[in-house]
Amino acid sequence: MELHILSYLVFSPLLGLLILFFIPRDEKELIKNIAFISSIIPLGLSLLLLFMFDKTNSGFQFETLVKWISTLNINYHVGVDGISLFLILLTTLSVPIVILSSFKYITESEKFYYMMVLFLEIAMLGTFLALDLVLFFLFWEAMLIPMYFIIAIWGGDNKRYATFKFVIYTSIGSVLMLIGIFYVGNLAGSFSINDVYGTVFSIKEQLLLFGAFFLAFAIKVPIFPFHTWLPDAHVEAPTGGSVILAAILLKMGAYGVIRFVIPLFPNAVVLLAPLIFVLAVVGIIYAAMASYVQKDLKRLVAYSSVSHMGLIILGLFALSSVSISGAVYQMISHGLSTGSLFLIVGILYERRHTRLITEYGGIASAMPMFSVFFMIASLTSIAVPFTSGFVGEFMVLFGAYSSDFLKNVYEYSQIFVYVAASGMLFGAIYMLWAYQKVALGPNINLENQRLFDLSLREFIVLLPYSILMIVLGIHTEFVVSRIMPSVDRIIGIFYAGLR
Amino acid sequence: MTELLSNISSLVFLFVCAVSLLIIISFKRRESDGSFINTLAIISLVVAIVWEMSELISGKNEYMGHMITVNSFTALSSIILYIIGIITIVITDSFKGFLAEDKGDSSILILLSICGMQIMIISSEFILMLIGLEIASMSIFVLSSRNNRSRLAIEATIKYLVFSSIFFAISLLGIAIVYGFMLSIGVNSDMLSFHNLGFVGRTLNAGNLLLTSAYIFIISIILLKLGIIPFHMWVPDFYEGSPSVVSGFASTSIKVASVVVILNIFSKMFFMPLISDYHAAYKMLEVLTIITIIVSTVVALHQTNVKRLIAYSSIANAALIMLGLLSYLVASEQLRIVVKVNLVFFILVYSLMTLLAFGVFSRLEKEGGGNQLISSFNGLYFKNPFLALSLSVALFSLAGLPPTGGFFAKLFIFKSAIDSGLIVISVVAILMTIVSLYYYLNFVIVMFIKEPSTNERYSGSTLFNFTIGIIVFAILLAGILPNKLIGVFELLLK
Repeated sequence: MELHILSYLVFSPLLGLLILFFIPRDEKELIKNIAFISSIIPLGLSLLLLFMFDKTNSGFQFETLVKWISTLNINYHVGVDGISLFLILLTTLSVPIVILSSFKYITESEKFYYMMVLFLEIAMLGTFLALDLVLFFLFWEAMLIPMYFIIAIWGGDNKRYATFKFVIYTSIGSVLMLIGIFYVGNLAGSFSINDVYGTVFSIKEQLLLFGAFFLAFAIKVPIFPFHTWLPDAHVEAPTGGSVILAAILLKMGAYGVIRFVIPLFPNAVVLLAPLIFVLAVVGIIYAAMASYVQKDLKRLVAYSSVSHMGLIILGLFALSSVSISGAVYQMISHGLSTGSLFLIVGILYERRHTRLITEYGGIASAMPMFSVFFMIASLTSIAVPFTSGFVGEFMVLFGAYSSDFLKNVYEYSQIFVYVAASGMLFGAIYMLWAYQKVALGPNINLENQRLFDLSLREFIVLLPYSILMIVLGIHTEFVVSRIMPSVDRIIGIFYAGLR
Repeated sequence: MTELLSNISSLVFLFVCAVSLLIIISFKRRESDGSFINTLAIISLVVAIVWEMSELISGKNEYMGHMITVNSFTALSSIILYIIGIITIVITDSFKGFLAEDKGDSSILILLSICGMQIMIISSEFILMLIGLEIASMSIFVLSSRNNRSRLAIEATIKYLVFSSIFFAISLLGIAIVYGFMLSIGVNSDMLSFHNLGFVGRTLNAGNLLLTSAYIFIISIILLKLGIIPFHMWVPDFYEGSPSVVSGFASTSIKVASVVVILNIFSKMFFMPLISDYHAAYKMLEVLTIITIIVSTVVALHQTNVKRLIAYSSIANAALIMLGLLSYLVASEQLRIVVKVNLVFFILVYSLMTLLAFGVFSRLEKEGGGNQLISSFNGLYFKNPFLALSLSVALFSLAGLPPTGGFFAKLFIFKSAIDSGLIVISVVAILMTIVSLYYYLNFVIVMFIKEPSTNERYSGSTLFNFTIGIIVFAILLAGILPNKLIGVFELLLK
């Protein structure tokens, strides 16, 4: 039976895009409504996908393969497995939230903004679903243009510097990946993932290709020495851009590692894993410490992302079924919590036009409802039990600790896990400190006393993320049972290729 | 004779049209404002396209004469040339020429120039190729110097003229040497039969070096037209000095013709079985390509004038074309067809994006006078979002980002180069595309920086906007469905 649900899903934002294209740009209310309604369609399709997803099947489901450019053996090949399923859901959930949250923040050229957001959604969904290396690269690169415009047009004062850094960093990585993709495709005979997974590379090839692929993903994640574009991009981007960046774009690097790096280059992974553990752990601690000294709330959240992504990378390269599943779980949880935190910072910024922590204090008395949401997101971010953050971090740390692979890397390599676990402590310090400074204490600033609580729209914007953070903290099995088989399959391919 | 004429019928038709327009204009010069002539020129180009296409589809246009080769490849290239001509004339027309007193003479010159380039395309020997080149260049000299009140325009023309003449003479010298050895200068000639080659091979033992340098002499005029370093000196000044429309036309059409000439004539002459020393000439091309890619990209980083920026970007793109040609030269017979298809795709997309960029420039040239600094594009998005977004598409495409045609154009070139084993040049070229990203994006971003002082809004004529819209659509289509275009090319060129 041919089911093209994935193709419909990827290109469903195109409908809204086309409708928006023909609407005059002065019809601002109409544009907003159409953008929001059209972003619900992919959400509905992805929920349908979740319903139809067969959790006993660890391979790719709903595969569609159409010949595209036959001279170069490039095909349009999409499919979904347990790993990409929830990232898809996160994407389709985030886009309506982003659109709704931008109603007041974006005040000029709305039409182009919403078109860019929908265009970005196509590229993001395509990246997660593509099973052909060139198609993956196409969507991966296509993300740059809308993101570039979103920061460059609606960004802050220093947007020029931030967009440059973002685009140049990302492209350097992806261009090297392109060379790698050509090489892999040449050797495998096609760019399709099923052919590529079965290909054997020599150790030397693996090391070079690992370098080419991993650098692209490491910059996107970002892993410690390549992270400097992230705080700048976050601070300058409008709220919607930051949410997409934090919730989805950062996950693509980690997704690329699971999908391509680990199964394709197992020997290189074994050889270089020690180095990556060091980078990941240094990233966790360094970024946590950097968060602590930030004066700007948005920058603080941005650095906390770097710290959490370090933990995810640790989980991925620990190569046990539990740790990788935990990393995927943490990717979703981090998307929810950080996305939520950026929305919260955005809401504060819309009211006060400043993000300096010292400007705030005691706003819980003026904005009680807001502070509850802020609290939930902060607690998820520092992984308190009964939040999704706890499940993810616990699985990563436990999985890494019990991983045979990690145990054999060095004599005392489990020390990585201890250090990473202490990162949770740092997380609690900076996040609670920030919460305390912003929301608690006496409200003495006159401007802060005049703040008004969430409007209905803002309430609706914050609600889905917050509910999911708690639901995923309790009802874990539903997600893990779908992720785990696919992760096991990837690990199987990894060990099968190991020589 | 009739067979010859029937095979080059569209060329003859176009030439007749140009001459009759010349006669019409001499009568109507006083009362007409140029759009009449321009419309006729566009119509004749459209008819030529239909003509060429019908022959392409019927598939009976294979002809190999003494001096001329006509096949589906030359027909396809001619169609691309006609499209470039139409776009150029439409843009010219929407500004009533680049001069107030323009009565449509420029479109006649464009037609004549296209005739010259088509002669280049169908020629299969050096002399005819040079004649075509000269016909094409003459019209371009006149076009670029039409604005004779501008010092820059005169400077541009003189530079181009002088360099062209010098290298024309040098390539004639090369032709003389080749004739001395081979008693032939064409690829279709009987002289190149095996019998003769044996004779040539014996005489060659002493003269390989001379013959190699002769090839370098001949190809230097093509390298000059493409703007390969070190033959590039005229390019930035020419682009800056001449009107944007002319810069766009000259940079795209001459590249189409040059590519065809190299594929049709040079690739065969270089690879004659007994000339073992073609290698030296080939190596020279390889080195020049690497130098061109690196130098043009680095120099472009420092440009503040948009037309000079696009000039260096066109040099970099010429180097990518050279990369495609090099991979054609070393590729196996089976791979050659793919490389050829990729080159045609690249050249088509390149022409569209360059014409798009220069089209937008010419619009602003009219509004803002002579100032072409990048900073004069500040806040264009808030004055005319359509133009700003169109220019962004052109620049993103030049930078090679999806979903524009430029992405696949570059991808295909790199792919065919890597498949042919040109790994080092490809890696250098790919790395340089990152550097180039900097100046393209630098240009894009200034258009989106809001300048509170300017409130004026630009608006274009409907025809102009329509043409720009079509080009944008075509570039995006080439980026989303390149397979359709590639499929058509493959079918035609097989």
